[in-house]
Amino acid sequence: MSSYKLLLNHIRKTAWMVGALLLFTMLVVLFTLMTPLYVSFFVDTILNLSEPSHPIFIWLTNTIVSVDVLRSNLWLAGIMLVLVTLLSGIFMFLRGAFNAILSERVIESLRNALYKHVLSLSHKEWSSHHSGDMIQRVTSDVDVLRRFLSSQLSELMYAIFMSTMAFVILLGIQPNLAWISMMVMPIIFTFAFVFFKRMQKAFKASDEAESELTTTIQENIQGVRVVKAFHQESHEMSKFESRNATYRDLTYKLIHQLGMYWGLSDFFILLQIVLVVVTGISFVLRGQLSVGEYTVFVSYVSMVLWPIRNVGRILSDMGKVDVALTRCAQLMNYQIENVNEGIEHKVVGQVEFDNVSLIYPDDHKKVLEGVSFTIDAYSTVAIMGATGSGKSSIVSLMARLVEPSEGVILMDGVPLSDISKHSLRSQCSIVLQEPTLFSDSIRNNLLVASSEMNDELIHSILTQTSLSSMIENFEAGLETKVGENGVTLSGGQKQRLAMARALILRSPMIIFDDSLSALDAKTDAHVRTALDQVDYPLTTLIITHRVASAKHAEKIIFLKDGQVIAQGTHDQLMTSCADYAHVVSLQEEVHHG
Amino acid sequence: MDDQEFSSLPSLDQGLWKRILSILWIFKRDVLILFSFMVTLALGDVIFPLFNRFALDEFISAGRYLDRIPLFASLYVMLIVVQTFMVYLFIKQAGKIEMNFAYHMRKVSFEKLQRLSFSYYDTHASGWILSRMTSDINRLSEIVSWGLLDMVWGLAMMIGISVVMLIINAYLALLVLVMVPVLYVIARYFQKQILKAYRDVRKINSMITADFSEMILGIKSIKTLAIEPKREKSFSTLATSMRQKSIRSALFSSLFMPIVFAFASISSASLLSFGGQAVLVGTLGLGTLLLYVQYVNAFFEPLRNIARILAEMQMAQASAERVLSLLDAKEDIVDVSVTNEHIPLKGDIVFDNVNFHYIEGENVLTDFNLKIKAGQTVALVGESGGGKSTIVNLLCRFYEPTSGQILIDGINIQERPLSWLRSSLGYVLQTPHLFMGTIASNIAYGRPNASLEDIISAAKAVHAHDFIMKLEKGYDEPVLEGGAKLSVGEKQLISFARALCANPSLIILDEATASIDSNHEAILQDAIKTLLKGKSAVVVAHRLSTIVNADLICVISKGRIVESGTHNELINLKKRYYELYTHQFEQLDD
Repeated sequence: MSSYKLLLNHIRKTAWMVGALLLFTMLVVLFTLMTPLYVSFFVDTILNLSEPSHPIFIWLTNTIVSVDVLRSNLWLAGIMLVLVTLLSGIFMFLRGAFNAILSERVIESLRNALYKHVLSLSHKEWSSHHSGDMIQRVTSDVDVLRRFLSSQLSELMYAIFMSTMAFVILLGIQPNLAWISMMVMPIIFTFAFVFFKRMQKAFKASDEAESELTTTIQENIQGVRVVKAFHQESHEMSKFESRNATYRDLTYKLIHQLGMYWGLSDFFILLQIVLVVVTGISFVLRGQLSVGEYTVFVSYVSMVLWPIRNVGRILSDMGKVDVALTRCAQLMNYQIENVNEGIEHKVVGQVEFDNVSLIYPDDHKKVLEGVSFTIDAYSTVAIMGATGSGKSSIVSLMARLVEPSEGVILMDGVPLSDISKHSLRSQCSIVLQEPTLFSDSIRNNLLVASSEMNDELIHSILTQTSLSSMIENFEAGLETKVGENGVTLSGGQKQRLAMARALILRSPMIIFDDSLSALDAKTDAHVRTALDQVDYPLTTLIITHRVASAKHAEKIIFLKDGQVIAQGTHDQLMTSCADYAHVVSLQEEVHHG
Repeated sequence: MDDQEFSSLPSLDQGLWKRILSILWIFKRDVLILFSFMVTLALGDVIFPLFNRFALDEFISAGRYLDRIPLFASLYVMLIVVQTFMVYLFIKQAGKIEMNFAYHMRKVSFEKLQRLSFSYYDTHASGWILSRMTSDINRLSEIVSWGLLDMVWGLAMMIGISVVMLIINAYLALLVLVMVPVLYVIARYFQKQILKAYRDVRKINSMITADFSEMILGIKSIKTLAIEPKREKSFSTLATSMRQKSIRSALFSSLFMPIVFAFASISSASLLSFGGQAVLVGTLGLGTLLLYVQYVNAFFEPLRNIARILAEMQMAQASAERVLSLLDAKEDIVDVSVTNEHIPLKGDIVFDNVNFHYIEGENVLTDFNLKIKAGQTVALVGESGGGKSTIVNLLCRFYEPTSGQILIDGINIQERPLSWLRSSLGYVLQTPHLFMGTIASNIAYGRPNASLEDIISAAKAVHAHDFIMKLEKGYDEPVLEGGAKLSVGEKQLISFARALCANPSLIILDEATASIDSNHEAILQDAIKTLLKGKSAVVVAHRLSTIVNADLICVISKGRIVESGTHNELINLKKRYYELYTHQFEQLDD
């Protein structure tokens, strides 16, 4: 999708509002320009006793109220000025309202689309892009677009309408002076545009210096233990000091340049005003311009030039909007998966891997090669292997996060690839090695995937996962908030909450992705005992590098370099598989010194 | 609207601003120069319309002094030159104040952070501290420069216009000035509403950001739980409420300006009707009437901004409160001044009746006693929360005991400068922390003047040399933020090398082997052996292999030593240690 198409797609839904926004901007400009015209009519016709010259006022004095009435009731003339201002105020409000509604709707729709898209990204995409970069795209980049839609766009419209309409009116009054009074406009515009284009480097340098400063502070805060333990406070201070000074100096230089810009562009604008004042006087003296019309010229010049100066700035800033839009569009082009494609299948738990190989894209190494094994329904099977043996890839395959490059996986005899991902994932509960808890209460975290649950069942599961005492210690119990703004939990506590979250689902199959081994041995044993005692049919798959967690499984599948090199019970493997026996002895040795 | 009235607004905290202004007073010369620029600029803005009046009344209406038009034009241009030069100068000056103030605030805050003890870091999340140092200081610096500038200019301008108007025609001036109280009340009302709406928007915006980042960081959990529809629904509720709040806020802002204009137009209208009458009867010049019309717009210009400035000031006030709370935080650890005499630290350690609690009433250590002879390795084992890490923290003087004392080489550590203790300390914690820089600079962190040979020999001793040499640039390999690209095990080996390179006489290992999988175990054991050789060491134990060779093992429970002795003694005792040792293979706690 091209970047402009993305924006248009979201604007299209509220296209009529763009029309409304244009209309009200035009009306605002018209009525803003009206005030000086009215003052000029007042000066020329009412005070200086000449005939109205502008068509609007000819119409006004012919149909609504005669000049004589106005002249003898000056308060009426005053009220008309208030009316003009009121009308322009109403349009100003409507313009602001429509502008906000339009931009907020477009941004809401864009945000929802981005959110939905990122949620549906395929494993390949979310594992290959930096999460920080994706977060930046959906937050800061969207903010850039929001700023553009909510203020810059309407400022542009305003300046364009203002300059053209004012010019047209002035041309109608006195063409020669009109040309003279717009002389500086192209200069101001070009000057602003070129200046800000060239300043972009300076802006970037200041931004980078700031982010470097932030990183330095962050690193210092996070590494405070090391800093203090090694008594490097003064070293840290001097490091910080230099970054602090760099940021100050670069930004000051930037502001200095901006000062020159604003000063110079003010100079051009004010010079234009002098020009209009002086030539205007001579036009009046020569009788080519009335006094009132002279005041219109003087007012219009500043009304037009200040916004034009902004246009140059906005346009030169447009590069940022373009980049932000492109980055969002790129994200929308990341490949997604359809979790509902495929059949619904009621999982029993009999799994068969038949000659399965796996190669991740962009990586030529085979992670798994010719892996075959079976898992009987309702049994407990452990998959063991060292880091990099491919054991976690088995979990990704089981959840269909990735698809095998070769071979077939069967679930209860049905090819896994026929079963919809949603159906599969909601029935096979996976306890990840690094689970995420959401910023919410403990209760809502436990029930995040289940629809209803009574407290009794929650408590029995909390006992099974050794969480009861921890939760009792919290004043708010199950309502205690965790995550970003809540209590900080240790790795083990998070792990156990994730287990409880999975157990609450009472799924027919549960998979521990190296998560049991993160628990201390006692809790590990406790959880495994609890799993043996569940009152519903359950197939358990334990991925682990720890002998103690695997030892009691009915079958242990031992992986090395992506291949199954042995399978059987602990006792069988101790005699049949030298590698397994070695790991056992290594871990025993560590344990027993 | 004089200064008195301004500062007595209930929502502005006078004491707080006085403190901020007293800090700003460090730059008093720059601030006064800025003031003078702003007053000059405002004066110029007051004078410009007078030129127009002169032109209208003299050149145009009366047709007098026409020969002086060139002089008029040159004076006009001169005024412009002065004015635009002022614009350049005041921007430069405000930028100077903003940047110097921010620099100063960051500097003192950072220094303060270096002095604060861990109890501060325990109770304040790192993100919280970071935003005090960045966005809050930014906002505060902005208000004391640009905000102050706006106020001075606006005030000078309003006073200037009022004076000129009163001098020329007091009667017409009153027609304008009568609107000031009305508009002030309106501005106050809108300021409250806009601020409130704006806060709502900001709050919900940060919720949106949090939801996005939680979703992206937790995508694997979300996918495997198959809860995408639920997340999507809750996000769309959030997005909708963001839209509603933003629109509400925009409606208030776009209502404010038209209302100000409408009231200002009442002034203009009465000027036209009363002044027009005077012009018709010939008691008032046309130029003067138009001067007043022009002044009305200029006069209400600053008032239009008052709502924005007040809203910004209130936000800056919240920032100021937070920054000052950081600067006012109590420093628990009072360092004695550093003396020149160099006393080497031997490593005889005594905990003498030490009590400690993090939270009042919840004692972590109670009458704790422990003696470590120089060169001894002491291992601390026991369940988590028992107080093992606290003992280590007290020994490093990250915290001070609530009562009792810790002696090193027979001297209470509070009587010696921190540098004496910490420059002799080699410390390795559970999760390794590397700084941006190179591998070499990280190893040399505790001894910045270490030579490359020192660095390499430290790395070799802990078996880090081999993997370092495999890196593209070896010791000069850049370390990115958080040490990305290195495995946890590799980072931990670098931490060991760092501890060794500091040439310490006292080593602390705080669960230093916890995050390393058993494949690296053998290397690590050897590294630890090298590190501890001939030095006093306290090891918070994690793996028994680290413990068995310790000279003394202490089983810690609920802040006390419940058993102590060598491995064999404790095994034979067949109590707590025996239980831990036989029942738990790998990890004694989580």
